[in-house]
Amino acid sequence: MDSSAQPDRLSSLPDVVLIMIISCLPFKDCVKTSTLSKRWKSLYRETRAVAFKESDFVSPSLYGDSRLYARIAFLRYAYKWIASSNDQPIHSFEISMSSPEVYLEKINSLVTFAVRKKVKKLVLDFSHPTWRSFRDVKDLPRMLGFEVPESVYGLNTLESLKLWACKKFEPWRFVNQGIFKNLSLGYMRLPNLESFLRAASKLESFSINRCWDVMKIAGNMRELVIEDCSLFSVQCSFYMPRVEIFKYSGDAFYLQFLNIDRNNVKEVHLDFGVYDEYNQLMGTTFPPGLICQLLNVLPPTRTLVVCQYLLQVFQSFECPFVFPPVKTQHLILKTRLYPKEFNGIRFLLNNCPDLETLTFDMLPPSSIVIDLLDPDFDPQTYWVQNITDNNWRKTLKAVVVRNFIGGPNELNMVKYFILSQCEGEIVLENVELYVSYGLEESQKTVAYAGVEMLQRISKHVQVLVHNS
Amino acid sequence: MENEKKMITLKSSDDVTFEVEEAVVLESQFLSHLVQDCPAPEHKIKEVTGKILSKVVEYCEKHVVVVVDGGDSSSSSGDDLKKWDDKFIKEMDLSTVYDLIAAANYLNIQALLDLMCQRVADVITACKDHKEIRETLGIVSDYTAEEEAEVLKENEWAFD
Repeated sequence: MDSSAQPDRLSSLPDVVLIMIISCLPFKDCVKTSTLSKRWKSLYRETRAVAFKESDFVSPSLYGDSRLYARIAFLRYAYKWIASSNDQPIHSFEISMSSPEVYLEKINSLVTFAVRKKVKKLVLDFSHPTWRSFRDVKDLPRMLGFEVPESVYGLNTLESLKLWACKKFEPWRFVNQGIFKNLSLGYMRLPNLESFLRAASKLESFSINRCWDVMKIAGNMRELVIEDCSLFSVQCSFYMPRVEIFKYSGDAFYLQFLNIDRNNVKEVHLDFGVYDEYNQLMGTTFPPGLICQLLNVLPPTRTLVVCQYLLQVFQSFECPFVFPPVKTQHLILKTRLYPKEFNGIRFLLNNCPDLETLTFDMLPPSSIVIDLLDPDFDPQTYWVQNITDNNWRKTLKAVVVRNFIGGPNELNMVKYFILSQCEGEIVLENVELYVSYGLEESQKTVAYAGVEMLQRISKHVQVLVHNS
Repeated sequence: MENEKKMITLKSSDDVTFEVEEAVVLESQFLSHLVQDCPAPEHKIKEVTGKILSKVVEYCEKHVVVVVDGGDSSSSSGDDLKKWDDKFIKEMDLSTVYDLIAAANYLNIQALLDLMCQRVADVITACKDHKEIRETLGIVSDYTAEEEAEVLKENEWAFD
């Protein structure tokens, strides 16, 4: 097309611009550009964004000596890189490596390099790829081997920091808390964030992941992400008057202690999937009344992301409260479209009178075997039977399916939306199907047969297909 | 106030003229210096064609309006601006992207330059290997087979 005939216009741009381009690339892709031509080889080491990740060098299948050698090769590469680095500025620096204990000296010298470069963005991640929850480290202090060096606290250029699995993190010691914009903390005990958050007045985005003993969160951030944390329940309080994007995953119990200013919120993600897997393993059940309370205080948000677990809860209980209509325009359902989620999906759809876009984000099949054979209705005909009388028919413009594989429940669901459009008052404009990535040939055939079927039955609705 | 906005005319290399508010011109460091140094009503920009200058003006006008209107809903207009940027670059062919990079670099419009560089980076990231990058971007390799093998070996980890 336009590509092969094109002369090498890119290489005619000045070095300074090419360096800007390679600095936008993930580090691995930047290194790849060294093979393009001699000009590019002379430039790739000038990148402003350096990231050394163990996972790029050490495949998870390696063990024993092969793993050891791969880890050594990784550190050697990183070390060689910084040793031969010239005077160029570096804006962003990352080191991600599990079990750092043995190599603390080497890692510290890499961090010292980043500090000397006065980076704006720093990632220090020492978590292990097999960890899944804060429970993997909480009571095992020796799992956290890396202590944040003094020099990092003294780095007065730092705007963005990701700090995972470090020991003894003391945020109040940062000399320039006022310029932080993004902060992500993971696998750490966080009892005392208060004074830091008060001083970090420019913080835009704050994310805590798999942390424990989280006490008070009060600040001006626009985005707050809480992922599978253990909050210090009774004493824990939240005050975030400016929060617009709120993403929560983990145990629903803790959400009772959240206070956010309802009027500012634009996007809410509720994902109890972490809890779901855990509770299925532990055999405990979840109090549905709590979910009800939670949905009753849900802020009027433009975008709402809801997990499979919530959809299943709707199946099994009567909400004791009058459920207020949700002012959501874009509803995203993380689902496997199991029949036991159907009532939940219908319930939400009927309670979103402003809905414009509906996204089904299909989850991969669960690793935990669950009971699929319990609905007292026929999943094949469930949707087509109750086709009328829906609020959303007046507003819904787009239905999107991500990770589409053309399974029977997906097809029935989408068919329902297409067929529900009556002649003369068609609102639905697009159905967008993103075919799942990495399907085998036979699975692809099934998926595309599904696409064709949907295209055939849709007279007025455009069915678009994307290869994701 | 509305009527007092100072207008400036920009003329491209192929003599296409654009009349813009002074605030729009200030998005470009180069032009803001030019306008301050030389208060003529019209400025010829010999290095940029009309086709590309129209894109530059479109970008600057969009970005200037939002800053002025900012007010209470600054963040939502920030989101809208990002959407606008995405749309702005989505349909653009690479040849226009390069021209815009050169123009943004010359006129010193950092935000536009960043946006365009990211666009090229996205194209590179979407390629599966260096051969595809070369093909897509039309880069001609000046390596011998031995030299290329050597470079590959040096950074072996990045090519699995």
